[in-house]
Amino acid sequence: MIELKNVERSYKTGPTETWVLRRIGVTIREGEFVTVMGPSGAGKSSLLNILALLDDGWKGEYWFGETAAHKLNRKQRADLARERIGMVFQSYHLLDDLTVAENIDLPLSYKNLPANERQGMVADILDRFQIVAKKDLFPSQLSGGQQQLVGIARAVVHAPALLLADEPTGNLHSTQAREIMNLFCELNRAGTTIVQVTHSEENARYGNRIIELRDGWLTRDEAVHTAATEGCTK
Amino acid sequence: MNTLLQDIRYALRQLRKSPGFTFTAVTVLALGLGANIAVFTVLNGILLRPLPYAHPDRIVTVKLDTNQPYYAMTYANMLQLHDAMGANFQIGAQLGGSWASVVGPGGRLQVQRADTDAGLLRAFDVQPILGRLFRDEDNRPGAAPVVLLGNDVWHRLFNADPAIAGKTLTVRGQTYTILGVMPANFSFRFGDPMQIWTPAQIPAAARTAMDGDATLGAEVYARVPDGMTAVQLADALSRAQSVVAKEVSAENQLPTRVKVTGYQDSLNHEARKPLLLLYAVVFGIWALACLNVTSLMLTRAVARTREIAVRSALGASRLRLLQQSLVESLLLSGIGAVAGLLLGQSAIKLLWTQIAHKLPLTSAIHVDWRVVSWLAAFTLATAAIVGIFPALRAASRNAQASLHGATATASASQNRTREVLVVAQFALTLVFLVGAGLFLRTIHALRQVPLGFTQQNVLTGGVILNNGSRQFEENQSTHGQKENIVRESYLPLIERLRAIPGVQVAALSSVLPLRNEMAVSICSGLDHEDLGAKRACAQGRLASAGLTDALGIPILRGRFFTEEDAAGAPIAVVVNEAFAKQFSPDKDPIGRIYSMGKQGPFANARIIGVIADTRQSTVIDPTKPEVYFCLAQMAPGTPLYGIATAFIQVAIRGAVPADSLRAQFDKALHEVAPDATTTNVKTIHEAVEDSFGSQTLIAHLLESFAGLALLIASVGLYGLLSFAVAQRTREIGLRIALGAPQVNILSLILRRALLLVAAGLTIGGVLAWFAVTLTRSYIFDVQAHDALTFTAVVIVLAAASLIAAWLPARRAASIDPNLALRSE
Repeated sequence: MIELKNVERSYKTGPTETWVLRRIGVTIREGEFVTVMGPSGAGKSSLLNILALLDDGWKGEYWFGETAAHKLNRKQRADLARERIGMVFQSYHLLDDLTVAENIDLPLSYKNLPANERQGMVADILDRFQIVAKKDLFPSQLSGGQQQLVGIARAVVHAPALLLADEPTGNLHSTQAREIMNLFCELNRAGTTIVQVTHSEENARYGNRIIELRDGWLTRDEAVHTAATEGCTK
Repeated sequence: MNTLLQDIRYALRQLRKSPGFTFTAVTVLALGLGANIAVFTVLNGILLRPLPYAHPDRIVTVKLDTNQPYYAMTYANMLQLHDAMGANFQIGAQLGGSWASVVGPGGRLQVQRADTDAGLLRAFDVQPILGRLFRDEDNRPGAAPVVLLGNDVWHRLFNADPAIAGKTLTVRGQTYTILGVMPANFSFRFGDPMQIWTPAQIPAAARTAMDGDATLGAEVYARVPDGMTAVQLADALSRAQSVVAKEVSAENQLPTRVKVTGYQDSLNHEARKPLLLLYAVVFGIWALACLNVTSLMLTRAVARTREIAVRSALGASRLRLLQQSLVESLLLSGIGAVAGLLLGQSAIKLLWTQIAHKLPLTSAIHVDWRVVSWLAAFTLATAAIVGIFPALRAASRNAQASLHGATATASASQNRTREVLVVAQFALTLVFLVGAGLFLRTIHALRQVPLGFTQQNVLTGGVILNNGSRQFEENQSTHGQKENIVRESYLPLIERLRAIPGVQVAALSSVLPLRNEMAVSICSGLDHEDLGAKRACAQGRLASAGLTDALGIPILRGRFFTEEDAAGAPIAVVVNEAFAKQFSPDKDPIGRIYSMGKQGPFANARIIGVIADTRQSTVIDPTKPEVYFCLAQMAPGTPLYGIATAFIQVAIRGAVPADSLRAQFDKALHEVAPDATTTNVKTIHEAVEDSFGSQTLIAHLLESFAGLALLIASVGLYGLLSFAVAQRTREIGLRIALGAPQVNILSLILRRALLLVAAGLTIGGVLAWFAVTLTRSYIFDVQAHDALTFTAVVIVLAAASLIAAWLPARRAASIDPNLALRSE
């Protein structure tokens, strides 16, 4: 589904160039649940931004299915991201002035979908995530776990093929974190390819593959064996 | 459509959520748009709105091209031009006019009467809604007196009686048959309320006399023929005039060129320059408001960086982000526009007395489609200016950095942009303040001009008697009253006025200083000399004894009129200093003869005194020669008696404040003539202030606009520094924690403010240096580059900016380092 070949990313600060990703080559198959790990500054978020097509300053090849994302211009990349990718953020990034339903509707509003179709999709996802009762509440009226639930609902409302999550449980306590990870498992089982960035070994075990980055280099890429007590395969 | 509604809903929610921002932005925009739309409403009514006539652009005034003031084309001259142009050429004339008090079933009304020929209303291509227009025979001497009513007079006086035609109306003691009623929108002269029109009685001699006593002065109007431009008409009339001029005696050389001016232009030309200047100022105020709100929006965009990044990450295109920002700015400017419209119209209402007093054509000032379209255009432009730039800046930020950094701080370039906006605001404000300063100095200088008369406790006012009659009517002895208006009315009025307790002296005159409501130019040789073109031409006036005492005008030589200068006594004449200097520089004017006519007592009118010059129609124009005849010596049949019957003014000097004499003046007049009315009663001080014309209005408006600009710019600086302090809270906290004294922190913020203000003052100073050249024609007795004004403005601006900067600086200096460092 996704193939990165020799992807590199650097930032120039004055005369010096700082490399955050070096010659990354990764293939992610459809239906995989991949966890990206590594210490701070290893390049995890940079990799996620490249996968999310939010970043334009990288080099190399990025194949999204049959589409050569590296050959697309900014607008085409944005179109591709809008159609195929969903994002979940560590700090949820819900818009404070929008209700739960409006927050979920936000990515749909950026597509040319008829209003009634959008309303239907939002209603479905509210129902699926069991947050119908909260649809008219504002983010400030929700707990952190509930906010992240809404964040995930927003990310998947348009049924993306790829769900990217940047430390999705970083701001949650363990019970809430487990609920969120179980939700990821459900989505994954339903066919959504997931790439998450996390520091948590426990969360990593929910996936079926771990990629580790250090100083921008890919240092580990291995399957997760489901002997663990927790995880999607349980 | 759906997304638009969603954006509107969200924008409204955002504005509700930030009441401080919304209030400030809406207020600033309302002030900017309100000032703009208020001046545009006035400008539209006076300059842009076409007069309500058929093809108004084709109605022109026709005058002989001469530099002599008060030079009127004769009626005979007009007829010759008409003949030369052909029968289809529509031309007509107003031959006189006066105020009149008329009575009908609806009560008593003061109306404006215009005496016209039959061609005038035809040239305006208007038909009465009842009855008929004048015919040529109505202008013949001896024709039955008829009158056409203005629509409002018909309504007010006759309750819109549909059978009014054929009924009668008494005007100044004369019974007129009502011929018809003009349509609702029609007025001539344009804009005067309560009008009636009577056909002028034109003697046969006046139809042919190009010079001499039989001539009739005419204000001429014409309709430019189809297929011809006004310039072509002027050329054609000038060719005809050069032929006409040749036929006139060499002694009375006639101008050979004819000047054709659009009627609307002739009415509004004096207001054109001041209104355009004012508009330039309010355009600047609007620009200032836009700069200010753009600055606010930039700050807001910084605070909303995360939101924009999230939207961007969720798939919002730049266009979509732009749309959302524009919807918000459109809502802001829309609310600002509505508030501005209300504010502007309230300002017009508040200043209405001044506006109506100082500007022409004010009856047409109201909101119409042009005003609404202008406001809509400015609202859109405002939304684009204040919305697009901040939105572009926000949308161009790196979404991933904003998402991960999750901080809402402005970049250096955004801070620079806001600083540039503040500098621009200060620069513009300095220009406005300098302009306002120059106008204030002008008004001050105008008030210092020696006027030649006293302004203390003098009440003045016009008097309309309804038993008067016009000069040519008198000559014809057809409709005129034979009683002597001077003996029957004016002299008893003076007695009554003098008897009012607190009145020191009362006098009558046909013209009072700075109340030039009636101008008559008379020419004569001195001591019976026939000087041809070099005759002593002066403004002819009538005055009663006591005028110089009432106005405190010094007598330089001889004496002014006394009670001894009565009917039957030798005809006495008083001249002013300008007359003496111009026409009798080497010879004592006292005792010289100023003849009116070739025989009779007025042929030997003798100069008995020279009075000091007084300002006439404006305080800045040099005084022109004046010749005063004694009112008491006027009687029917004497030269200048027509002046007495047309209009007279009262000057009362009291030992008490002039205002307190108004009621007594009215009472005294009604005791003498119960159906008489007063017009334009005001103190001489008010007359002086009124003579400044639009200058005082502009000065007051400029003062307000400059104050507004100062407020907006100061708010801009305050906002910028407050934001900077909020942004640098951690840095300032750290400095304090490391031992920085309070004064150090204060100077840190104030230094930045000082730099910005200094840049604004420098740029503004340069701009103002060039901009003041626009005001040259409006200022008086002060240099455009007046050092005092520039210095004072810089001090005012510096003081205001210090106050605006001090508050955020104080806040910065009182930051608690513990809190500041913990907040990070």
